[in-house]
Amino acid sequence: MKDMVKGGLWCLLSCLCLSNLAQEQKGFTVLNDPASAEYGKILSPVLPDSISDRLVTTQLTFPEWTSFFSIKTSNIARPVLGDYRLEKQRVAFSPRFLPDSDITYFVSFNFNQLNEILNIPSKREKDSLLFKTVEFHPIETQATKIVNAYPHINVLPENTLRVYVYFSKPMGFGNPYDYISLLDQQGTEIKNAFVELPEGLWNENRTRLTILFHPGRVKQGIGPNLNEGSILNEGELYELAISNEWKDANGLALTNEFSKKFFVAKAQRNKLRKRDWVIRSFCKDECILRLTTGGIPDIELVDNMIEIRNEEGVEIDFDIFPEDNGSFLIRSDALTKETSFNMIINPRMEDICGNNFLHAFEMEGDSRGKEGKPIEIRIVIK
Amino acid sequence: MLRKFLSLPLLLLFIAAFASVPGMKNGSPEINSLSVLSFNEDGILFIGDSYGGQVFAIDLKDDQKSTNDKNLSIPDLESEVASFLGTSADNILIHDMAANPISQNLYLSVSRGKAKWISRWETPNNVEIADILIKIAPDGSMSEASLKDVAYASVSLPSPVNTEDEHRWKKGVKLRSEAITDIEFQDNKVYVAGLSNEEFSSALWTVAYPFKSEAKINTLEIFHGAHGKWETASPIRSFLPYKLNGKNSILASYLCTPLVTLDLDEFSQKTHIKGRTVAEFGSGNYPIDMVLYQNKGRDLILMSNSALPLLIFDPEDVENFEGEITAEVEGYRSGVDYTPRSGGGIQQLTDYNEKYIVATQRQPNGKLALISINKDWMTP
Repeated sequence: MKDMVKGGLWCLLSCLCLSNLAQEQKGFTVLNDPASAEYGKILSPVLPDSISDRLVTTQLTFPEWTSFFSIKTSNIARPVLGDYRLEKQRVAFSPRFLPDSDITYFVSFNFNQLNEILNIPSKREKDSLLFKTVEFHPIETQATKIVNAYPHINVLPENTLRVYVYFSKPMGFGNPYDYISLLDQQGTEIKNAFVELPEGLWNENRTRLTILFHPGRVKQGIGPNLNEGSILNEGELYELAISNEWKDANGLALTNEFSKKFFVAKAQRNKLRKRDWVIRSFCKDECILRLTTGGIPDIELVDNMIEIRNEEGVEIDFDIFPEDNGSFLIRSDALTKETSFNMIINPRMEDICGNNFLHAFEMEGDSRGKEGKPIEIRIVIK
Repeated sequence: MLRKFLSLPLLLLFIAAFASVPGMKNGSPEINSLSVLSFNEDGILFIGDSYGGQVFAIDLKDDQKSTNDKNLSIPDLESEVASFLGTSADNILIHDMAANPISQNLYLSVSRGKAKWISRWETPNNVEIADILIKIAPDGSMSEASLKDVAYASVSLPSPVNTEDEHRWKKGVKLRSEAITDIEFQDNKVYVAGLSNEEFSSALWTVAYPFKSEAKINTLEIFHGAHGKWETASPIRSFLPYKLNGKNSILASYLCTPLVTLDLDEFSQKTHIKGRTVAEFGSGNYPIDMVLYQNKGRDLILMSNSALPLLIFDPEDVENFEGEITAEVEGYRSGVDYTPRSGGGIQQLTDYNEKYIVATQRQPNGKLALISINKDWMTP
């Protein structure tokens, strides 16, 4: 008995759910399930046999169909373009394009007008003109989320110049700095922290934003630094916050707010040193390299600034993955036991503070190193 | 015996059906983008498909001669088209417009989708792909010009710009959106301007119509007066075939805004053509459309622009211009003169009938109107 009741309740629930997807609205049926292949379709009230039999054998033009059954974006607008056909005693309208969820559609059906088109002399006295407004459920487009920010680690040098923010899909146009703030440990926004280009510094498909800390405040001893002070102070806690009101390229707000809290460590004001770049290999099912640098390399420069070549001098493809502790994992199909490689680093490869192998970011003009040779690090996988 | 008698009339019918549309077949052409529209005098619609790298010739059977000499105006064209497509005016983009010279039906290539056209340097084709053809009759009625089950022919363009190449300074814009920028028809030839993947990317393709042979490509080089240099990467924006001093020529306008003549006789002799720059109409602008019309018995050219006003110039002035601009222009304009006319916000232009040129114009209230420009009033 319990099972029968359960079964009955389940059946009732299913029917209710199904009926929500195909909504009966004063004789009309609106297919309003965005997941359905028939989403956007509107069916007329059921037609008497005499009319549906006549319609089966009559070819109507679009103006003729819309003269008695029309869908419009306003009372005075043109009928919406779509396909009309008879489906089991109902006229079905399938729009040419999917409906907009922010538009109210005006649906009307005029029985007497239909009779006239079909040369049926009788006239309906009651309910000859049916009218209804329809709004469609929005299609659940997967909105964009902030996937990550680099550096991953939660301790940044006082003189950090660059941070990257990654989005799952392209972001819209508009000033990114309307949505990004840097907060101190009291939760107060730090003004003039970034170079605020209204168009943003994006990669080509607008999924990676470069946030550039104001170099004039980062670099010691120059105007902005002297007048406004440095942006970050050693020993303090900060938060990089991004609002979820920011819209992506489809006009949808981000699905998530973003917050990265980080401590500030001592500034790194020295040029990069080869001896700090240490590569260790470890092999299990595959061989992986772990690179530690003593600092935080700018990961977005890796593609253009770092090569790995085998003993024959042939460059290999590799992927690099930052770890939470500041080191990097490098993997490549070419990395196998008992092989050797050379990592060749452009001396202009920088860390996130703008220091490279030739000079520190802080160094002035002539004190900067001249063009240097590539840095080579031997990799032996045992 | 009976079969032979039956088959002959059928065969004649078959031939007759195709005699009016030589080289065409019936079907639904696979067009990837309705980038550019142009008609020939026989009412054949040429569609430039940038993403497919092809030109289609379509016979829409729209050949009922119209003697209409009235103007056509629609105060809020975008709302009309949008409501027809079940959306709002800010969600559609009109890419190109052409009028059938026989029926005077107007055809618009339109895209639906979020209008991302926010940069004054971008064209509609840069931001969206036009995927529906709308027809507007002289009485203002609107319908879809279906491209299903039509008579059509097509030709592939050799060496269109690669699909993945990005524009150098229009961020996010694929150069392929400008593989075809304009199409014109004259003397049984179709001329197609755009971008190629050749060493010099600006190109003009020529193909005989009906399409029996392959399209031939010539790459182009012009002197840009406002920039002070020879350029090969900027495509022709709008052009007209025109006889200048008895020679078959192309009058071509470019971004920022040189006016150039190209001698068509050279096209069969060389693959890379240097144009002759006869005017610099002013920087900070790109030309949208050029229309040849007659005013008081003489030929004049009306040109619409993204930032400059509507302007009129006389091809006779081009013929009489003896110099050539080969040095950076001092000042804003140089060479062949033009007359600016009031007509701010005018975008697309198309020759409509004997009296009118039809245009789209952005109004002070922000709406896009379809207006008619009286040729008699367009006197320099």
